[in-house]
Amino acid sequence: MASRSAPIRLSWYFTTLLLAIFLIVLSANGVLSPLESILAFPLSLISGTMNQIALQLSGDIHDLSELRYLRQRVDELEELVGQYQTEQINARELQLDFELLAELMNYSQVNATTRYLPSEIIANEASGLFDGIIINRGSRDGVAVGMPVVTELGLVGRILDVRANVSLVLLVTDGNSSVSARLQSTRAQGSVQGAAGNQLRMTFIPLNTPIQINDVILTSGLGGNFPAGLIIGRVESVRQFEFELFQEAEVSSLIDFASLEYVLVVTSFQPVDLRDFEDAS
Amino acid sequence: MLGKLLALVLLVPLQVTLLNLFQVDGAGPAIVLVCLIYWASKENLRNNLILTFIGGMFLDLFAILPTGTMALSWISVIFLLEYGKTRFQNIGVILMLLAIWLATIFEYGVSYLVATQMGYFIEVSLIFNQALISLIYNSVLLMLVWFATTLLGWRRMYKAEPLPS
Repeated sequence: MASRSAPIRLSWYFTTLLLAIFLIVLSANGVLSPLESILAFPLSLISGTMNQIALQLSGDIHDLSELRYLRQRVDELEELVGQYQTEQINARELQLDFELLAELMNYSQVNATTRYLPSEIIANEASGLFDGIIINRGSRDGVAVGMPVVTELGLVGRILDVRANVSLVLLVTDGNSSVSARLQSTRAQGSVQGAAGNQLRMTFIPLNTPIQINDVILTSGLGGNFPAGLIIGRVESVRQFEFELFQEAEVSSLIDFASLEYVLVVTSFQPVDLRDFEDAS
Repeated sequence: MLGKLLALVLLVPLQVTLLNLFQVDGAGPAIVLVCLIYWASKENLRNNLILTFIGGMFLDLFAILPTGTMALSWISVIFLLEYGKTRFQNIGVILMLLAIWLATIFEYGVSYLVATQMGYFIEVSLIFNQALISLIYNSVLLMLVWFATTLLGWRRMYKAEPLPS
């Protein structure tokens, strides 16, 4: 009986073995991608829920282990707060003095080296395919492609196309926009991209970076497209999966793009084209 | 069989999320493999191979390596375990432990081969380190599963026995 079933067993073994090899070949060539997406969907739903529990649990464990450390830190910080309060009073005095002097000297900007060109928004991008605006300043006013566009609340976008009297600004909320960014609190870097519904998404944030809701996101200056330190927005929510290499954050800009009327073009900033270096290397 | 398939649908996400909390140097307990080895002592070869194939495939959906890699590394062990079942009439915990060690070593070996074939770079020391941690984890997990099921089996047996009159 055993000897009769042995070939059947072997045939089952070799069939599954060959099937596995066949699957690897197909998968490595990307042929299985649609099937893998379908299969992964229900599993990812379950793992999404489980991941939330896992994150909660890991957070709780982490909290417990940090409790002793935190108590010690609270004592240290209380001492520091006392020192800072004294320093803050002195700083406030200095600020008042500075404001008075700035008013006297007719300073309109804090950073005297940055030159802004006030512009009025005259239209939205025509095709409607992109999140863009048209401003009433062009090459005649010194506007060039790549110049950042801001308001007092932060980054609006960058000049995509310039005509004599008008320029097209690609808003940061557009899907084609990508800005090198960093979290103000941890200095962790990432990339802010436009997402659907006037939203922004910061991607490529290292997994071990702690992100708090309302953390401020600034331009990092990497890539040479934007100056460093411009406000992009605040963190609204964080998406984190244990099996992914990076985490993501939903970001909301402080700017209400729908009711935007005036913007400032940063004319003193010249974007750097890093492709020259790539070509040279 | 259907119950085990449904269990795999839950066990795979469990392994890639909650059990990741126990990871040391990137290696953690492989609940899917442990269950497949344990089930192999109960089911017939055909069902075991199907379960192994599907379980491995599900896990690969969350991995960088192509689908089928895990299945390829585990199938041979399941087949050897079946051979052991016919030879020793029953699969004991020692045989299951041997199987889990072999499966873990095969898993890392095959993964390394497939990864290098695909152009990825993995340090050999990292593979050794992870395989060792996995071996310990999986052995402990298998012992726990075996112990729990054996206890449950005893309880059922005593409950089923009629009381002496």
